[in-house]
Parts: sequence; C-alpha cells; structure tokens
Amino acid sequence: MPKDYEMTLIVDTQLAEGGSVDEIVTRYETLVGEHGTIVNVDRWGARKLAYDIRKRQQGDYTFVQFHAEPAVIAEIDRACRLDDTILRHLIITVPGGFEAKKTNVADLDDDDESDDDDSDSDDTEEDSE
Amino acid sequence: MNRGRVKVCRFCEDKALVFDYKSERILRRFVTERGKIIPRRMTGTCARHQRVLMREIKRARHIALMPYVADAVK
Repeated sequence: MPKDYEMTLIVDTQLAEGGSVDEIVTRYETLVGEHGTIVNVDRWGARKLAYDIRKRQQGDYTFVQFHAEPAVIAEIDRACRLDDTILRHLIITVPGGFEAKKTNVADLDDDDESDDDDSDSDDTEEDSE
Repeated sequence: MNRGRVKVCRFCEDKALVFDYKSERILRRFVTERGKIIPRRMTGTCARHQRVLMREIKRARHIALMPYVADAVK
C-alpha cells in the first residue's frame, strides 16, 4: 500500500560539479516521479545551516511530498546518499497522510523572540524561486 | 521557561497548534539557548506531545534547521 512521504533535500549551493541547484532539484523530482506521485514541492531556497555540513554554511532546502510504495524508498534514499551535491537528506513518512498534517504557522505567543531572524521559515516562504 | 504554577500542555490546550520538524519557530521554544531539549517538567508539555516534540526536534537537527549544540551567545 502506498504511503505518504516527505523528503527534505539540502543541496549544496556551491556545487563542485556542474549543474545548478534547480537542475538537481528537478532531477530528484523526476526520480521521485518515476517511483511514485509527487503531491507537492516546497522550495525554501538557500538558507543558513544551523551548523556546518561539509564545511558549508548554507544550503538550498527543498521539501517534496509524495505518495510511493515503501519498497522504493530505499532506492531514493540511496540516490541521495551517493550524490555529493546533496548535503543532507531526510525521508519521513507522514503519519495519517497529508490531510491530517497541516502545519500551523501562527505559533505560540510571540513574546520573547519577536526579533527572530528567520521568522518566515515556516510555510510562509514557499515562493522563493 | 519560567517555573511556577502547574502548566498545561500547550499542544493539548490549543489543538490547532500543529507542528512538525519544519516549524522551527515553535520548536525553538522548547529548547534552551544551547539547543538542549527542555524537560517537560519545566514546560508542562504532556508525555505524548513531549515525545512528538522530541522526535521533531531531532529531525530538525538532522536537517540543520536547529543546532545540536549552539554557542551560548548567539
């Protein structure tokens, strides 16, 4: 039975080998599309990393929501792992499916950290690029 | 998080408050300045939600949205 998955890709913004970030993201969209059906793609664009990954301080975030059979996940995961342009990736199942999961951006009482620099890091920033 | 009277779980109180590993702003509140997860005895979060919180914070750390260890002064 297919499940709902969400994949996070952090693409290196200073790519050693050719290809732009967009090309790489498109490549993964194609890969996922071959194994399942894409529901939504959320591009956050370049963002500062909370800590360095492979000496990089920033990465390009993309979230891909898709339906797929559990068996194909290993393959997608492997592709990400072998790719040097992917700094980090994460594939999770969405419990209860996408319908059940709607992230609320309006957060807790905003008393202490109103000067938060990445306050738009949630779903509000989905149109960058 | 301030101590004091018994607090209720913020997620039980407000059912509309849904979060996941991408909701960095929400998760940030349940973590110390250094990036450590705050025990539920201090935040009043119920066991179930603390468990979810823990999982989502760990995911957020993995994808570098949140630090594993942060400098005390940020």
